[in-house]
Amino acid sequence: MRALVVEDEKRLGQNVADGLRQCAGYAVDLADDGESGLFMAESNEYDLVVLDLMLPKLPGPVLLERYRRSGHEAPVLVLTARNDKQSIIRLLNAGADDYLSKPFDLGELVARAKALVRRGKGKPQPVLSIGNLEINVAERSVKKAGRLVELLPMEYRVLEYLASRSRAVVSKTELLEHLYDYNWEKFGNVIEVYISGLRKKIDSGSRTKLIHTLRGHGYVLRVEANAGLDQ
Amino acid sequence: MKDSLRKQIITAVLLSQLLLAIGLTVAIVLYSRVQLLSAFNIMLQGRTDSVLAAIHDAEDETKTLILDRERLSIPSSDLLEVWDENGSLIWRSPNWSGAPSVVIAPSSPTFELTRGRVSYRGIVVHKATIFDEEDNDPGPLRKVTIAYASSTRELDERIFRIGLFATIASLLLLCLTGLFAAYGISRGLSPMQELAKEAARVSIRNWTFSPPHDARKKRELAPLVDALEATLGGLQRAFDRERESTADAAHELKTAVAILKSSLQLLSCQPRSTEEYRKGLDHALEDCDRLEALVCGTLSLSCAQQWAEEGKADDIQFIDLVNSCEQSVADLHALAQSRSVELQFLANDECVVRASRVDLQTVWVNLLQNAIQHSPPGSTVSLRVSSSDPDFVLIAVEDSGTGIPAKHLPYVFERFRRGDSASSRAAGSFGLGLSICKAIIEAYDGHIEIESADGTGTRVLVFLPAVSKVPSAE
Repeated sequence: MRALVVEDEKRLGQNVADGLRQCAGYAVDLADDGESGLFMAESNEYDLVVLDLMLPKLPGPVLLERYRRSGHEAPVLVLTARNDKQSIIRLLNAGADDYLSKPFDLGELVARAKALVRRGKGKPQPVLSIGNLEINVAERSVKKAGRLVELLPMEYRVLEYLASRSRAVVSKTELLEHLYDYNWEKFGNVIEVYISGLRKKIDSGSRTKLIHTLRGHGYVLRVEANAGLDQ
Repeated sequence: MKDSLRKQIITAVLLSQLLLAIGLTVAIVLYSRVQLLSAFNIMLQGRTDSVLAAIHDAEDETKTLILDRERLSIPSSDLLEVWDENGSLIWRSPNWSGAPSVVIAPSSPTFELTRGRVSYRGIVVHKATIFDEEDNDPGPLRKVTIAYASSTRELDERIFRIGLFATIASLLLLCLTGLFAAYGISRGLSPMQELAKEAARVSIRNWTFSPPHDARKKRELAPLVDALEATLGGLQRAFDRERESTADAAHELKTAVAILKSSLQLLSCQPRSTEEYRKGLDHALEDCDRLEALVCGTLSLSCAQQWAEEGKADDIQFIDLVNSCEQSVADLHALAQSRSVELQFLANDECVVRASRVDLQTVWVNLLQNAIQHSPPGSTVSLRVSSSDPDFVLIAVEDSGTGIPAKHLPYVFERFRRGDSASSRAAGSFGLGLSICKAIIEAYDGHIEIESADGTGTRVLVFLPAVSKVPSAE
């Protein structure tokens, strides 16, 4: 998953970004003013936007309104220093999905971020199951037929993203878009390495394969009845 | 019960009207009395003439004068006395004991007397000549003196009636005009009452003051309306400013706390190596320093503002400005060097002001810090002290940095204002420095100005009242 943090207080933004990276395993981009925040939000595919309200150059509410007007659907978590109900109601009506008032608990922020991302993907339950595979998003653990599977962080992130879009075909570009932050050099074959790693750990030795490659289209995570398409 | 302005005015108007009515009634009575008396006198004169016509010689030898009562037609109640030229009585009304002797003297033609309860007014005609028309051979003309008096009861009654009429008419008119005055005054005062009602509606919760349109049009009320509006507007702005800056301070504090909290939570969210913990603690300490700086800044601002309002009493010394500025420049030398900015100090003379050394140092350090932070590397920041004006010492801090956009310039002295928040946040400022400077300078009866052009630099001018001579107390 990939998140954007728009926060002008550099230290706070850094902490929120680190929290999301370390505790949720997200790729995080950081913008420190409204204008660059809007530009980044509109030019990348994010699974979550964390937005401060008092921003230089472009205030948070305006950014939110423009972001929503241009048709972006990623959940937006607003950070506000104000606690008055009216402005919170206005924000939620303007398209925000949740809010936290400062000073907030970083753990709560991460938990809310995860919940928002889950709901944003239409998967409200914290445990995603495909066949006998169970992915606990809250604990970031994976079980195959009841047994814990040890995954590399990047492998877990690929699997989590595929599971959140389960039964849909996810292209390599989409995976790259959602798994790496802005500063990462994007190499397609990196994904292939992680997919093959996942196959070894999840699909090897079991009769029903879960990870499938559709040549020229991408990957899909599903319980495949028809093995003909399988590689 | 409070005094009512309306009642006072109505009472005053009614009293003045009552005085007018009384005065008018008295004038009418006096005037009609004068007129009636003169008519009465003419009537008396006429009666006297008719008496004169009724006097003739007796038919006998004595040639005495007699009054022919058959030819006389006067009211029986009237009093009459007739003497001949020798002073012997010719006729006297039977019901009269005679005119008072003073009356007979020719000094006054009229007299007044009272008989029983009836007042009389009479006239005396001296030496009236008798024409005896029946006497064809007139001898020497004979003269008589006639005293004639008539009751003034009718006259008094008429005067009384006129007086009564005037009084009743005045009272009726007084009632009518009183009602009219009360109505007019109530109407005239209604804009004031409306205004008072509207003003009473204003409270700390509700600042809207919409003066009635009528009140604004009245010359007497317009200044009051203007003053109320100006005062309320000013108060509301002050309240709003206060609320805003409290909210700003709270926001800054919350943010600082949020940063510190998130740093600590980030550190504790997963097991880390000693090195990572050490780094995390360093970060948290930095955040603490920031929080401390913010709290200290807010406190010193509120102190300085209190001094500015109440005047600073203690810790005031005679201070050599040049020395104080030199020290600040020295303090900031390291910062300037780290940003490759040259610091320049220019002073032409010794200048003395009365202030606290620490306060002034705070101002110079703040101003210099601002200037250095906004200066590009390689440029110069100058601090100049000049005493060309005998009343004021001028201290100017000048940089050739980014300047302040014109739209921000009016607000730079307000709390928590930053020219460009992103860049100055990075520099670790809270936008309190200039507010503190302003409050301190104003506490010492000085004032501070800022001039800036976007892109060409900023100049801050501080004026402090000059002290002519250093006393030995220094």
